[in-house]
Amino acid sequence: MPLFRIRNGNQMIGEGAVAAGCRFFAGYPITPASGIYKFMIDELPKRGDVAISSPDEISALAYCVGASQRGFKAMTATSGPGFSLMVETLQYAVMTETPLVIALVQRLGPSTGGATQGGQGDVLFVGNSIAGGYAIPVYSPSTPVEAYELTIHAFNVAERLRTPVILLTDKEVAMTSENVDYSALPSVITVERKEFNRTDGETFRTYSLAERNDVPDFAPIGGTEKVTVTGSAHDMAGRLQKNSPETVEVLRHLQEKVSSRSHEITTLEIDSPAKPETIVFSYGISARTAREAVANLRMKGERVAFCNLKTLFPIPENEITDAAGKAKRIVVVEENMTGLYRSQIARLFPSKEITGVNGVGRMITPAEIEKAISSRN
Amino acid sequence: MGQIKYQLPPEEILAPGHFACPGCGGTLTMRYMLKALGRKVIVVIPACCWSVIDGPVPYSAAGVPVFHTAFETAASTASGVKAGLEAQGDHETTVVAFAGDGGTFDIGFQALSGAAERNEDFIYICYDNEAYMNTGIQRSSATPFGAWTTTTPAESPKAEKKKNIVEVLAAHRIPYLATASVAYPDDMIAKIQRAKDISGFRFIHVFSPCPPGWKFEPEDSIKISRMAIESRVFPLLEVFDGVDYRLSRQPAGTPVRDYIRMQGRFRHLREDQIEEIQKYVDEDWERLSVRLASTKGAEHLKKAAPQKEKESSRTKRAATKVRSRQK
Repeated sequence: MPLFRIRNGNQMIGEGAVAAGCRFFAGYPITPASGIYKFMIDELPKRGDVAISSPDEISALAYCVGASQRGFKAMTATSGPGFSLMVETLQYAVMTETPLVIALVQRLGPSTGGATQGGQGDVLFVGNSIAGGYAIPVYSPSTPVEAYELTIHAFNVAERLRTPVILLTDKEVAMTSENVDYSALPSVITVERKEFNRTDGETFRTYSLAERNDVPDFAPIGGTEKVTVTGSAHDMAGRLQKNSPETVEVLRHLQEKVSSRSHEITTLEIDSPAKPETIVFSYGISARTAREAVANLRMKGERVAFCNLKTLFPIPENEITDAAGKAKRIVVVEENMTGLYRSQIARLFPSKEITGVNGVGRMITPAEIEKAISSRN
Repeated sequence: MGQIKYQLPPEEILAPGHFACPGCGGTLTMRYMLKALGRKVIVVIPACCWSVIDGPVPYSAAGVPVFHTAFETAASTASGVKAGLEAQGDHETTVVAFAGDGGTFDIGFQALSGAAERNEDFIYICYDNEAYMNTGIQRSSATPFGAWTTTTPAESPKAEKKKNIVEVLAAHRIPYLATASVAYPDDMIAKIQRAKDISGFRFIHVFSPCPPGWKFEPEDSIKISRMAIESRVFPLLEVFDGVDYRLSRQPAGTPVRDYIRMQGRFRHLREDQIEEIQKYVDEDWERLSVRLASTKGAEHLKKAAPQKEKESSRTKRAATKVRSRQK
C-alpha cells in the first residue's frame, strides 16, 4: 500500500544518508543546500551521532575528512560557492583515500550567482575538480526517491572504494516538496569499508596494495596501527616521496581503483522503445522535463528513447553508447548555457547528430524539447 | 515637552524601497553609516542580508558604489580597493567593509585578522544579528549561549558562548575599535565619524536586532537594542590601540531576564539557564570593568555617567585628535 509523505530532495538526501549509516555531518549554511544541514542537525544527535556547524565550507569538509579517518561515514552539503572552497580538501580526500560524500545542490553560477535560482552549471567543474584528472564518482538524482536511492549508493561507493563521492543535485530537485511514496523506496543495502585485520607477521601500511586497482584496508588513525595520512605524494606506507616508482604506482592506483570499476558503480535509467530513432539524455531536474517530453512524443508515434544519467562520472561511456544503439539523433537536455555534459557525450558519437536543449536561469519546458525533436523530422 | 538633543545629518543617502525586513538593525546601520560618511564612499559587502537588501535590478538602495563580494573576502577585497585608490592618488574616498556576523566572526575571520594585523586603511563595520539570517537563521559563532536557531533547535539550544570579537580585535592592537547600537544613532554616527578621522584599520561592531530571526515584533527593535545595552549584554565602548578602553555609556545593569524574555529565540530557556546567562554577563562586565579601570580610559570612566554625555564626547573627540594623524 502506498505511504505518501510530503518531502523534498534535501530531506530525502538526509534520510538516505541516515539509512546508509552516515554518522557524521558537518554543515555550513548555503542556499539551496541548507535543508540537508538542518535535517542532519535535527536527526543525527537524536541517534547519538554527530552533526557539527562549521565556521566555513573549508572546515566543513575537513571535519568530514577527520571523522572519516576515524572510521565514520561522513557527509557535508553545499552549493557552488561553497564547493569552490572545498576543492582543496576534496583533492586531499582523493589523495588520502578518505571515504566521504558531498551533496552539492547546484544553483545558478558562476560565483554567488543566483542563490535561489536553479542551474546545472557545475557538472564539468565537479567532474574535473581533481588536479591530474583523477576520477571521482558523481551521481545525479532527478526526484526525491532517486535522491534517497543515490545517496545510499554514494555512501556505498565511497566506503567500498575509499573515495570522495559527489551527489550532484540542483535547487529544483532539492527544494521542491512533493508526494513521496515511501512504500516504493528501494530496500537498503549498506556497504562498510574493509578494515585492516592483522595476521601474524604482517606489517600495516596505510596504502598497501597488491594490485594497482586494489582498495587499501582501512585502519583508523590513532588506533592500534601506525597510520600516516598525507596529501603529499607518498609511498604505500604514507611516507612523503617525490617520484619513486612506488609513489607513481600509488598515484596510478588512485585513478584505476575508480575507473576500472566504472561499470560496477554505474547506475542509469534507460527507457527505450524498439529501434529508437532519437535518444534523449538528461539528468537532475531536466531529466524530469525530458521524461515528460519523451512520453508526449511517443504518444504522437515517435520512436524516442530516454536515458536519465543518474551516474555522470566516471562517464559511463559503454552504457551511453549501448543506450544510443542505432538511434540517429542524440538530444542532450541540461540547464546550462553551452551544453556541458553534451560536450562529453558528443565525443563518443563522432558520426551522429547531436543537439542540445539548454536553458540558463530558468527551467527547460517539455515543449522546448518536443519542438527540438519534432522540427527535425 | 522634551527638547530635541540630537539631529541626524539630514541627507538620506540610503534610498527607501530596499529589500530589508521591517525593523532590520542592519539597514538602520547602513543608513546611519552613510549619513556619517557621506557619498565619497565605496562599500564592500560580502554574502549577507545586505547582498539582497541593496535591491534587485534595476535598483540599488545604497546610493554609493557597492562592491558585492564573496563571503570570505570582505576584508581582503576592501584592502585591495583601498590600495588601488591610494596608488591612483585618491586619498579621500573612504573604503568600508560592511559585513554580517557570519562573514566577520566565521568565514571572513581569516581575511579580517589579516587586514587588522596589516593595519589596512579602511573601516570594517560588522552588523551583528547573531546568526546566518540570510540563509534561514543558522547559528554562527556570534549566536549567544542559549539561543534558538534552525541549527540549534530549542531542545538543544546553542551551548557555546558568543565569540568576543571586541577582545579578538583588541588583541590585534588596531588603532580604533568601537561598539555601537541602532538605539543610539548619535553615538553610532559620532563613532563612525571618529573612525573616518583615524588612519589604519578601524572596526565597528554594531548590535543589529533581527525581528524574524530573534522572533520579536519589528517595532521593538530599538527597545531591545536599548535593553541589550542597559543589561550589559552589549556594552557601548571604544578601544584605542587595542588597549585603551573607554565606556561610551554607563549601563544601568538591568536584569538580563527582561532582555531575554522579549525574544522568541530564548522562549525555551528555563530560569536557571537565564541565571547562567546573567552570570556570564556579570563576569564579562567585571572583566571589562577591570580593563576600563586599568587603562587610560579610567579617568574617563568616572565621567561617563549618562547625564554627562556631552562632556564625555568632547573628551573623546580631543583624545581622537591626537590619534587621527598618527599614520
